[in-house]
Amino acid sequence: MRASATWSMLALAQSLVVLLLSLALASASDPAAIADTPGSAKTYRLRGMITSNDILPDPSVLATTARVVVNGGEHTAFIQSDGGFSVDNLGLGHSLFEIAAANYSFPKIHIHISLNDQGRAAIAARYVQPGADWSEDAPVLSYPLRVAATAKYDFYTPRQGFSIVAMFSNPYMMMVGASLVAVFLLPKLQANIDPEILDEMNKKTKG
Amino acid sequence: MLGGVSLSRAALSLTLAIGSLSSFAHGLFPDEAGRIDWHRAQIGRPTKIVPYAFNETDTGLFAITDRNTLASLSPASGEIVWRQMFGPDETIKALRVRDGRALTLSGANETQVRVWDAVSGSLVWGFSQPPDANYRKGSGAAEFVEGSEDVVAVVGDSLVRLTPGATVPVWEVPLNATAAYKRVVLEDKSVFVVGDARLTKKNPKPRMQVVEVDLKTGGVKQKYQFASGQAVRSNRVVFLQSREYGSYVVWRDEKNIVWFVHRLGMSDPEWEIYHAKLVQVELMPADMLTSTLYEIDSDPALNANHPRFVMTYLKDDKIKTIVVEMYRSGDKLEMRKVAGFRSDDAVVAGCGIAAAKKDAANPNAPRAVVSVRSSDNVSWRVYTDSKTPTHTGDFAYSKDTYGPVKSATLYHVGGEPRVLVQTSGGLVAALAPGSSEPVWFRDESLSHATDMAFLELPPPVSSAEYAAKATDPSVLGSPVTRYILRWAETVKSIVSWVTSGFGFFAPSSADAVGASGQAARTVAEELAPGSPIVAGDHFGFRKLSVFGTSTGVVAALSTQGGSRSWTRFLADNGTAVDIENVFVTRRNQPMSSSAPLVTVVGRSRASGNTVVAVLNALTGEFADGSELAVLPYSHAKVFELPAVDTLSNQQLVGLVYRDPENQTRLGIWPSTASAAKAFCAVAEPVFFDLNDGAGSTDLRGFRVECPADEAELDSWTEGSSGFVGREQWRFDLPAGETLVSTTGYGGAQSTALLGRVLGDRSVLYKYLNPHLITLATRVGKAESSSHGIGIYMVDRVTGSLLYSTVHANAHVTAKQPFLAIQSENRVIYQFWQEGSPAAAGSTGHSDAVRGYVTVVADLYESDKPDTRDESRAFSSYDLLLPHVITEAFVAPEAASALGVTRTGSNISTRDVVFGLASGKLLSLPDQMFDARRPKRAATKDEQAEGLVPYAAPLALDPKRVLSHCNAVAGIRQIRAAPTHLESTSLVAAYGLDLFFTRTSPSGTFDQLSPSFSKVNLVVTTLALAVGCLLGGPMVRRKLTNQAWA
Repeated sequence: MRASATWSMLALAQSLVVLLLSLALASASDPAAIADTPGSAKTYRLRGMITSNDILPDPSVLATTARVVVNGGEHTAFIQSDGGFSVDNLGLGHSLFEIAAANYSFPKIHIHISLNDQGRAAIAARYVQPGADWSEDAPVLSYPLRVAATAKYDFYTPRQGFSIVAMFSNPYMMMVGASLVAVFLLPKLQANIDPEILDEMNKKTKG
Repeated sequence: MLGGVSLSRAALSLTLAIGSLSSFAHGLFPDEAGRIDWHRAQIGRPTKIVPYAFNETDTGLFAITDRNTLASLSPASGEIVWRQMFGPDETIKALRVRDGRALTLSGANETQVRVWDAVSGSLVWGFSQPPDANYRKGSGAAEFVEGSEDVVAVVGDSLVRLTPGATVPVWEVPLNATAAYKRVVLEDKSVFVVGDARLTKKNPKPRMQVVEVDLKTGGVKQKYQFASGQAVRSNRVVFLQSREYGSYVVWRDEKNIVWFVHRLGMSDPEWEIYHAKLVQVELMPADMLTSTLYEIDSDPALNANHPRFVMTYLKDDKIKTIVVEMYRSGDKLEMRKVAGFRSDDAVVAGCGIAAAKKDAANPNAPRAVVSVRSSDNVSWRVYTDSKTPTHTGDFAYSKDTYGPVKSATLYHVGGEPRVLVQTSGGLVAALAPGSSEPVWFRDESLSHATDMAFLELPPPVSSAEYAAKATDPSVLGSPVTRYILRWAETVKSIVSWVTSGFGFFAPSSADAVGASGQAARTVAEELAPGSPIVAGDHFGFRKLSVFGTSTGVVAALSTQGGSRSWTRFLADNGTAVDIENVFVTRRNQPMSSSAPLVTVVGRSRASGNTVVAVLNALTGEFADGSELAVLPYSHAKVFELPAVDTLSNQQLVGLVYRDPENQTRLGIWPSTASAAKAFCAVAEPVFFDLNDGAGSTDLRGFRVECPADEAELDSWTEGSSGFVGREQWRFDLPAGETLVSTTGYGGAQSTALLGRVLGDRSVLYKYLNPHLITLATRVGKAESSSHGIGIYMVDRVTGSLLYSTVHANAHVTAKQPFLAIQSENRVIYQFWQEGSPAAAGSTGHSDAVRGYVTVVADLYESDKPDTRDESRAFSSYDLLLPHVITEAFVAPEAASALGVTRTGSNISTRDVVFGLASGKLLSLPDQMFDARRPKRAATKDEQAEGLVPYAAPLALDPKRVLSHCNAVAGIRQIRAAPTHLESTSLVAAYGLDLFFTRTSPSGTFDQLSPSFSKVNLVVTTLALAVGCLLGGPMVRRKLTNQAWA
């Protein structure tokens, strides 16, 4: 029962870490669950929840259509019907957290798991923009993570129906309009011109 | 070929025009979704199917598959209710369903135990075991604990009891790497974990090891070994679980004729002997030595009080099968025969349904027995208690399409039995009593597709042409005649349309016609079409996609709608061939009686030798009386050769192999004298490169030599040794680097423009080398600080290095793959990178940045415009080094495949297609990948050239997602084919799922919009004509009046 005892001690240690950090609140970081394995490096569990919003009112739709992806597929996790998830066996260091969903867009998150001076694990999560530097100036997110969809993908382009404005804004229609003006309105204008002025103009043109 | 197309002014003008139109490219219109594309969701070949009764009326089918998928199928239709795809290396080892929950155990060293909601498919809770240094390969098993929601499982090197909501196990027993534990057997108070004991010098013989643990406390009760010479997963060992009698292991020693029966937990006596002859009287010792055992109903909730197993044996050269049931008579263990069959390939299903309530196990649950009597008929029977079957059925089925039946499962729908048969080729078919057709079927062979080729189909023949061809085929030789016949057909159809009251009163045939333009088929017709698809359409949208799969199945599907045209199962000595390549080696030729051909190359699973089959591409039959050829070697590489056999008019396929003297040779197919002569008649020598696969440290180039003596060609036969490949060069990778992948041009390439026209009308000439190959290497080990990816562009003919670079901090693993593609003068590759060069003034840590990086390398002949190699044809020996411009982008998501669109003349721009891990097929325009995109505001010349200012992220624009709302799972390959319209390219993605669509990267400039109203056009024209007729007299009258005035 050696390992069982180890589990119990670790669970106790984890609870203490939680308690200490929640009392301190000095850091925005929070401990991740620790899984100590004999003969291998310590690994950590990342927990979180996909929260509902106007874009995604019911996160349960993601349970069979989305995955949590860490470091481009190095670690993956399934999503529970309430939107909860946990990613196991993460190591210390930096990771990129994404939610790969077919129909929804989610923010990308930089996860940093580190040991503090007391040797306790702490996690710092920040939003990141693709292609931008991962700045430490960005605000740290609360832990466990709470992630909300940023957009629902609209894959379709609606067909444009008949529009009189669109028809007349077509350059060809404008050319046609100009031609019609030249054909029908110009002769009328000519008719309204004083005959003397017209004669004068004709003379100038001939001259 | 690249470089063989001259720069034409017309093409230049057209390209510029189309380039300016590309900004008008739009997303998918809602009415196009599902009309121009189709998606087939798949799960893989089930390794286990568990029927489960939610209640007395609702049943579910749950399956785990060899493509690491857990799925719930509708028992009535076979449709996927939900599915969960596990990681690529996360094999699902166990599935149990109970109390509305499904339990899976998956992975190897990093073991995952998960419990799922059986109705919705959502994860209820899970447990992950970190990698364990003591893990023994093959370990892993899991069972529900009755009376609780707990699970007992072998994870890593431990036996654990897990409970929902707890992050740590209730108890854990370290197994100390003494065995590979593969089986967990639960009794009321104990849990037995059984495995294959580790072989030691002291105990070198295989044997099974048992650890008995107290179910409540986790205390080890005893540990012992038994069954010397046996392994847990053997065809001479079965486990029998019974609530009433306990748990047993029955086995037969290899050279023994009796059954040994061991009661788990009882070491004295270790076993009892039972004579099988008491069950089957006809068994003789020689028959018994041929016998094998296998389990049915291994789930303890099934048939628990009458554990049964199956024995097959050989008697008088015929395979016989009996079902044996164990029972107790007083204190004595007894066995009896339940059913028996004389059939070469009888398959037995278990009772097939779990009780809805755990205490309602039905001792009289029916047992289904499915026996395949002949190659063209599956007959099955269901027995309950009597020896007379209660239900029977037949199913007309040919082994030549999906292989032999390998397993069966019984389930019920509305109280009526259904038998689910699975074949080795990947067919899953549900059979019902009284029907010779399947109720539904799933073809899961295509989830194992390894290669695919497009076959162009001839345009549809009008009925007038068809009638003319039937009477006198020669009349169709003249294009004028064909034109007249088509017009006659058109006039006829117009007359018919008018006489039918403009279509308003005629019965609509649209209901019976699907998106594919073909009549809807029944289940049986879709499974085995009576008439194959032989005609395409006028636009080239409908082609045949011929798939080769690792399950031995070759299948041809229409690119429109996915209708099946034909299916062929290839087997060598009864074992499915592992198909690796499919080539169209004879295309459809107008007015030719020769059928198009596909050549399929694979590997025999039995011998590992190369297997070649030439099939009629329209019917799937073997071509011209040929048959499956098993060659006396195992190929290292296969590719199409630039030669056509003059006799059979068949494109040659080259097979590179090493002969017993380690000489590299090139075999050809067809391997005939005429083919050998045709190959040697090709003016340009053939070069190929060869390596030892992923992990090799060098790449070698070979030149194929034809024999000097032509008599050797005259006597060329199938048995001839191939042409000798002379090593021309050897490219040794730098120390510490190993090969990851090689990428070349996929098939013949063409280009419309030899150069890039700049804003000032000067031309930057493209470096178009058809022999360009791109190597990717792994530099250092992942855990070292100097790891990365090396990129080498090499000429296949000379082996000269054209370009190289190293990407530091880049990773390649099975989960973070390296992808690359070559198109024209552009090489695009993608990899995972951790850390980036520090940006000036950066406040963040550059070593923290992680993400997929897409790198583009554009190759030009020179860095100076209007400078080019003046030789008419490209030669690798000119030693022209390309000017390479590279640029890096941030990929939007993890991708699993890369592709590029293709159009007929390549005048339309090309889109780069990404198969994303989230199931999207993202098509991004070529101009986004231009390595010359300015990193500042574009100048006037750059604007005129169409260069967009650089932005690192490649945006995921949903309007450019070809798969729209479909989640295309597990994309491994993306292929494209041109259509008859220059604007349009067919795109196919396959992996776990199949998805076909068509796209127009430069817009549909050569098509009328679907909203274009032909009726309006006709009405407008008529109105104008009427206006002219009415207006004419009025104008004449006015002119006359003016003349009189």
